[in-house]
Amino acid sequence: MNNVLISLSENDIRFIIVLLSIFILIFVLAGYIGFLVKRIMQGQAKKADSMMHDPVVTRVITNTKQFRRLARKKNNRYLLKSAWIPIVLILIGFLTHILFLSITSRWNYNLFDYKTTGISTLFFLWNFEDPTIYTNVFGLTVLSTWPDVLNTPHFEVDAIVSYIVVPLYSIGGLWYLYQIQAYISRTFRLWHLSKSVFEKSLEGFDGNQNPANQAPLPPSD
Amino acid sequence: MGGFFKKIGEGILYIILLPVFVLVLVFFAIIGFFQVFIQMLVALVRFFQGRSLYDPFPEDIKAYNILKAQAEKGEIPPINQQHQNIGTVNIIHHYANTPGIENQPPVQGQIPAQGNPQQVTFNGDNNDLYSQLVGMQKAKPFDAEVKEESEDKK
Repeated sequence: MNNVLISLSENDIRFIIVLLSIFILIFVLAGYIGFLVKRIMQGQAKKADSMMHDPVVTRVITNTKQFRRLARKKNNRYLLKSAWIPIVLILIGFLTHILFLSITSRWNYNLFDYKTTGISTLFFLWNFEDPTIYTNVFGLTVLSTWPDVLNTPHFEVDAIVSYIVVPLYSIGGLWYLYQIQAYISRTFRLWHLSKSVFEKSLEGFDGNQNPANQAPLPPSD
Repeated sequence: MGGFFKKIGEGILYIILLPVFVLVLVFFAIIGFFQVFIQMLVALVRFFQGRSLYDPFPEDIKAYNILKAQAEKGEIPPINQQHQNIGTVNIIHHYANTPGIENQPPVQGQIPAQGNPQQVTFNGDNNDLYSQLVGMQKAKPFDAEVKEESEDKK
């Protein structure tokens, strides 16, 4: 180990430190993002409690099977109520896309092209495919210089359909995935509640302290 | 420092579990899409038949009726008065045998610990307590839905 460290140049050691810092940063960031997702899902799962509150407190539902049956129906209905807008957005995008392609017969129309027809015309793009910008360090291929700018934002009339369709797809898709995440949260929460609500626990129960039980308990062995 | 390493550990764990989460998300997304699609078709048919888009569930109607019956008996105030903030109701409490509350004096707006049914006055200040006691805020939307349903049947 010492021999390896001695054989490393100052630059190599710096590079390893930077690489290690980047990995640590990625892990910490992933930890915080995961924590955030977990908190959001916990918040979304609270809806499950209010869905099932009345039938449970009025004893209309008395067992796990009934609970799960009603919970599944309510969860599906709530998904419809919360996810119909993103689905309609995606459908509008899809219909627009298909209609345009069929009317113009341009079946090779690329929604993400950066030259003439795609949404990428609106963004900065760098040429990461240029092999001269990479170098090899300890078997790892890493960037050694900034890549050339491939595209600067510009408006293309031919890309108007992309400007309409791609936002519809992406907003609808993300919104739908958010609602699906809520659906998953509620599903797991309802599954947990279906067991816990009807569970009888003797944890912390003391027969001598129970006022309903007036007769003293027999002495234990 | 411990928290920092814990966060790094969690980050590694989340990165490892990410493909599983994505798989579950995709699975539910496909199932959810079919669920929404089928229910949307049913709702559209109902809409063109001139009926309400969703019927309240039978269990919710039963729960609503139970809560309404309790309100009519005077155990809790009527549902439609829940936002009027003022009302005097008789609460027959079921907590007399609850350990630990025997010696607490009854406070306005709280369930009394011992004795016969007593009057508790609810006003604007203890509205939250009222909704905790009877859970009526959840029941209110069904009032309208049940009315709509009965009008449909007529």
